[in-house]
Amino acid sequence: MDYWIALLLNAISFGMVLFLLSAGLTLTLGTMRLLNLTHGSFFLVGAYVTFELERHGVDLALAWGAAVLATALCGAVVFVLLRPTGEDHLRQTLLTFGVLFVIADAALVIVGGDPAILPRPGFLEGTLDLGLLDYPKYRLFLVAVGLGMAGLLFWFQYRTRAGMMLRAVVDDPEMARGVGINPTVLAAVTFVVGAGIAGLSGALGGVLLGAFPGVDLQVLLFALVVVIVGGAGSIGGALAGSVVIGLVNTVTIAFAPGLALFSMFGVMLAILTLRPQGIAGKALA
Amino acid sequence: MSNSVSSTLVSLRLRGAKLVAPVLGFGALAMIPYALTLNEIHLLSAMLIFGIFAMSLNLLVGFGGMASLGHALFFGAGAYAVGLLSFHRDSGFALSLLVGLAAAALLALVVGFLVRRARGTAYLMITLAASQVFWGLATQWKAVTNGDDGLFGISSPSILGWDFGSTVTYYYVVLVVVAGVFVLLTAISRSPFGYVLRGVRDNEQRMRAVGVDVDRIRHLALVISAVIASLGGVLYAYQERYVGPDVLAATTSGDGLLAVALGGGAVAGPLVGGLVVGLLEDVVGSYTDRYLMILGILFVLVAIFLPRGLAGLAQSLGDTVRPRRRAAEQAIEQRVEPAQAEVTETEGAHHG
Repeated sequence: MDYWIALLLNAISFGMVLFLLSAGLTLTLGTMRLLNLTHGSFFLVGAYVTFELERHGVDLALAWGAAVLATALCGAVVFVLLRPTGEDHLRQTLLTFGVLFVIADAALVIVGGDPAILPRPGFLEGTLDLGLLDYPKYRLFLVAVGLGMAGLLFWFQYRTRAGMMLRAVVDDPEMARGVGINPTVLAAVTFVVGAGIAGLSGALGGVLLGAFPGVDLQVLLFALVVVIVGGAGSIGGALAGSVVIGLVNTVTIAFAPGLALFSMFGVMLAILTLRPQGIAGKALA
Repeated sequence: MSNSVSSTLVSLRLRGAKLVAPVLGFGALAMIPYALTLNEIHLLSAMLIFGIFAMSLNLLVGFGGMASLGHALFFGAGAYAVGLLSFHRDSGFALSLLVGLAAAALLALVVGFLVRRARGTAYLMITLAASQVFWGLATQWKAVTNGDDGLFGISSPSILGWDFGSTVTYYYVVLVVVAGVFVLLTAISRSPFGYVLRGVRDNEQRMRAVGVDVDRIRHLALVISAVIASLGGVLYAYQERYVGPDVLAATTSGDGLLAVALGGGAVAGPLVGGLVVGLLEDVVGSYTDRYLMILGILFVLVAIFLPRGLAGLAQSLGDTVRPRRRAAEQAIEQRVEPAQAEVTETEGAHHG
C-alpha cells in the first residue's frame, strides 16, 4: 500500500515538473502557432544558472530568481530573432534549432560536460511524515509549486483581461485582431513568461531530471508528448497531459524501465488515433 | 501568334539552359576524383550521401509543404538495417538494402497515419517525437543496438561477387545513385503526382474540391521520401562501416532541413545544400571544437537572411546581371496568370 502511494506521489511530483516545463510551450503553440525547439534549452539554462550561482556561494532562492530572469531574457532574444521569419514553419524550425545548438554549446563551454548535481535548500532535505508513509519533502515542494503555478495560470487565463485576450487569440487569431487585440504584444509576453517558467522547471526540476549536455532535447521530447497528449494552447490540457505522462513514465520505469520511451509513445499514439486534438485542445493549424 | 511562337522558343531555350547545369555538375563530379586524395574522395562520398538525404526531405518539405523534423528516422532505418544485419547475421549488401528500404517504407506508412490530420507545427511535433523514440531505442536497447557504441563489423559491400567497397569505386556507385535519385525526383516533380502534390501544398481545399484524395497523396509523398532517405542511410552505413545512434538523432533531421533551406529551389538546390552542409560538418569539425556553435549560428543566419536559399540568392543575382532573361521568364509566367488570378480571387471564401 505504502509502495503504491509513494509511486503515485512520485508520478504526481514528476508530472508537476513536466507541467512547469510544458506550460510555456503549449501557450506559444496556441498563440503563435510556433513550435519552439529552444524550449528544452530554457530548462537547461535554468538548471545551469542555478547550479553555477549556488556553486559560487549565491543564496539558493536568489539563484532560482536569477535562473528565471536569465531564461526569460533568453526567451526575449529568441522572440526578437523570430520576428523576420514570419509564419514560415521551416524558417522558425531552423532558427529555434540553431539557437538550441548555440545554447547547448555555450553551456558546454561555460559549465562543462559533466552532469550538474543541482542543490536543494536545507529545509527541504529529508522526509515528511504523512501518516501512512515518510515522503521526501522536496518532492512535496515540487507538487506545491506545480499546483501553485497551475492555479496562477488558470487565474490569469480566466479571471484577467489579458488572459481573456490570450484565449481569444488561441481560439481565432483573425477575429482577435479584428476586435483590436494586438497579437504580437500578447505573443511576446506569453513567450517570455513561458520561457521563465521553463527556466523555473529547470532550476527546480533539474534535481529530478538531471542537468547534462543533451538534457535539452530529452526534456523537449517530454514537453512535446505532454502537449500532444494534452492539446496545444490549453493550460488545463498541459496539466492533464503532464499528470498522465508523469504516471505512465513513473509506472513503466518502476516495472519495465526499458519500455519507458515506448509507453509514452504508446499514449501519444492512442491519443493521436482516438482524439487527435489532445485531451483539451483544439485542432492545430 | 508570333508572340506565342517566340515565347515557346524562349521557353525551350530556358529549359535547355536548365539541363546544362546538372549535366555539367555531374560531369565535374565524375571527373573530380582524379584531382583528389583518397580522404577527399571519401569526404565527397559522404557529402553526396547527405545530398540524397536532403533531396528526399525536399520532396516532403519543398514539394509537399510538410516540414518534418523526424526524417532522420528513415535515414537511420536504412543505416540500422545494414548495421543490425551485419552485426547479428553477417548479411550481404543486397539483403540489407532490401530490408532497409522496406523498413523505411513500413515506418513511413505508420508515421503517415499518425500525421494524417497534422499540419504545420503539429506535423513537426509528431515527426520529431516519433524519430526521438527510435533514437531512444537505439541508445537504450543495448542488447540489440549496442547502445551508444553503435554497430561495427560491416563488411565491404558486394553484389554477385563484385566488391565495390574501395574508396574510388564506392564514390562512383554513390554518384550513380545520386544521379538516379536526381533524375527520379525531377521526373516526380514533373509528373501528375508532382503537380498534385504541389497543389495540395498551395491550396488543399481546392485540391479536395477537384476530387484529389489529399490524405493519400500526402501519405504517398512521405513513403517515397522515406524510401529515398533510407537508400541514403544504407549507403551511409557501407561508407562509414559503422552505425551509431547519431544517424537517428534530431540533429540529423535538423541538418537535413538546413540543407533544404540553404539550397532552396526544386531538386538541385537541396542537393547543393546537402553537399555544403556535409562539407561544413567535416571541415568545421576538424578545425574547431565549437562546431555546434558555428552550425547553430549558420541555422539562424539562413533562417533570417536566406528565405529562398542559395537558389533564391542566385536567382536575384542573375536577375540583376541578366535582366533580359528575367523579362523573358516573366513573359512565360504571365501566360498562366489569368487562371492564377481567378484562384486568388476566390481563395478568400475558405477562411471563415
